[in-house]
Amino acid sequence: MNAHRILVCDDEPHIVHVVAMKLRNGGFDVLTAADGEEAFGLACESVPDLVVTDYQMPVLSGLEFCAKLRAESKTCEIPIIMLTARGFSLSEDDLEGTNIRKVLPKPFSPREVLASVRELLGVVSLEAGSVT
Amino acid sequence: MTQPQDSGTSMSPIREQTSKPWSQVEDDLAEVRAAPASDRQKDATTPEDPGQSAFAGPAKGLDNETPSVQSLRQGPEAHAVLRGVSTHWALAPMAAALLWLAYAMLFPPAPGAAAWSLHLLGIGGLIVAAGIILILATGARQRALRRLVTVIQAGSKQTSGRLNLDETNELWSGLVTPEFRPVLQGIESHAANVEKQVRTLLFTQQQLSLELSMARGQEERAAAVIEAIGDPILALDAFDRLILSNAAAQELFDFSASEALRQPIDRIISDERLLRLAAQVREADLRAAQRHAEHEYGGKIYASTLAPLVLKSGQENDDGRHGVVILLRDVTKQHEAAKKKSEFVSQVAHELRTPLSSICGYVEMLVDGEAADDATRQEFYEIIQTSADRLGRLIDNMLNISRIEAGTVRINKEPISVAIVTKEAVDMMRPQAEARGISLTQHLTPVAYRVLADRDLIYQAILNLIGNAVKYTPQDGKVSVRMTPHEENKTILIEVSDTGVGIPKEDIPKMFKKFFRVEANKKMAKGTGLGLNLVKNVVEKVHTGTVTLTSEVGKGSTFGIVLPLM
Repeated sequence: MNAHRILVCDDEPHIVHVVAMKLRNGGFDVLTAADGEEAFGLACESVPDLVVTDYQMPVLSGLEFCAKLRAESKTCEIPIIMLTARGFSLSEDDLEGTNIRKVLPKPFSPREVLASVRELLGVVSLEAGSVT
Repeated sequence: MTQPQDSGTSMSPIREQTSKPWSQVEDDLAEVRAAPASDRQKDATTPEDPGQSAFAGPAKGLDNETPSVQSLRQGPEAHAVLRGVSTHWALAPMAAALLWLAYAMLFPPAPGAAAWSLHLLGIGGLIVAAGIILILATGARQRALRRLVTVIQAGSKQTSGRLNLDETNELWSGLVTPEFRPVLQGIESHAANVEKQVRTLLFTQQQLSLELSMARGQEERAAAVIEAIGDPILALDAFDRLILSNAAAQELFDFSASEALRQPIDRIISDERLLRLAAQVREADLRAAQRHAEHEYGGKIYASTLAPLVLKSGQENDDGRHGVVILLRDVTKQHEAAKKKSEFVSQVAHELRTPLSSICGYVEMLVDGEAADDATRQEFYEIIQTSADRLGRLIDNMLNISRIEAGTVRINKEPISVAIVTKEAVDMMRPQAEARGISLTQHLTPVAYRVLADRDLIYQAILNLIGNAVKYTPQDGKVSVRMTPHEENKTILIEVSDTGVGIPKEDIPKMFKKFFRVEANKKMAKGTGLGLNLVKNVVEKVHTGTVTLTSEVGKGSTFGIVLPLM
């Protein structure tokens, strides 16, 4: 079966790199973007199965990007995991109009990201012994 | 018959004066009073004035006599005086004449005898003598009366002097006969009493008006102090009525002092909370009565202090009620500063989390064995190291700014070559510039140009400028660093120019303010809004230089630092 495709976007190259590497090592196909605009373009183009995005990004912010995805029929069902360095968790109003399913704080644990992706996609790891 | 004894020619002024107008008499008296004291010890007694009359005082008024003087003249005192100049003396020769006449009638001598002529002469002479005495006494009496009136008039007009019997100048010695003496003494002691009373009253009046002006002065001072405080102040009595307010309070709650005085406070202020607090202070025990709170009026924040006011004029009731004094302080600025500070802190925390996230993420990857080979592991180590450096730099930045502003930064000034420091900063930024395809060029002066500066701070400032230039210039742009010495002013100019997004004209003045970021450029790059503020503080506060900025939207910006040359 096809590996699930994940879109990862963050303006910090190191963050993108580490998340992408973790997910790839976890058996996923990963696309990356450095800002919300670029991410939206890629999302419409290749319609990933899940999106991992940062909250604060230039050009188009994380929330705006998610709202756009929700508004677009092609992408409105894609589940989204949001990473944020903001101390507070996002409010109900913020999440309204988006398909954000999980919010993870920064500094984040790559393990936790992988586990959340697997959980949302209902994937059980085929690697020895590890179950989400 | 002798006339009232004169002391020689000095008496003539009085004689002349009796036909003068009274006012002039007084002036002369005043003049004489001022005469030197050497005249004082003359003999004050004068021989008695013969001539006495039992008649009542002359009914005819003398010239310019006031009613009081007239009554005095006609009263018992005058009689006592006039005894000295009485016409009674004329009775003696008159009686003698009558006796002689009687003798002549009883024992008439022979007609045609010389004794008849003797009798006639004698009786006639006696009658004439009586007549002369009468005339003289009347005249003397008149004069004495005038003198008395003069004395009385003069005495009654004295406001500050005394009728002093010891003043033995020529004038007084003529006036002060034994007959006059009791009258004068009476007048003198009366005048002295009146004078004493007047003095006491004047003194009391002075005291009172002094106290009044002191009290007024104190009141004005207190009012001035209350007005000068500038914070709204209100004072209420034990019955919740407004008894004092200053202009600031009147402005804040929009009432006029005259209308509001003694009105119940709930007619003036509508803030329920403030009224409740005032009520609490009023009811509470004196020791525990202070209250503090915060209120918002018209967009400004006020910190209130309410305290009990014990009014000494018996306004404190037996049930322990006292007044309330309310002071409101505008703390809007402090609030804003506190808000800014907490925003700063959360922004700082956010900024710090980013490099920390890298460190945590890559460390976890290493722990989980996600780095398959040495090359990857090396890459991870380097990323962790870079992130840790960045974290450190951020923290330094924050601390430096807050220390510079607080004035507590440790500055280590030494002669440094501007060119060398600038080159270091350029080299540091080169990788970042190259990653974005930006060309970074430098035009530096000879090493010899030095400034007295703190190396780290100057380095940081220049680094910030170059970093900004690279951040806000799109791909394939240009950043150039140029140094220009100005020997005539003994300054050196370091300029960082870019072909970046530029800054809108209205934002240029705000660029060096803390946390300020150009709205339009916020999405282009991350930033705390502190970098330029640090540059400004370092250059201006620590090194007495200046910062410059020119910019055009869409074309680019040029930031400059001017430092004094050594």
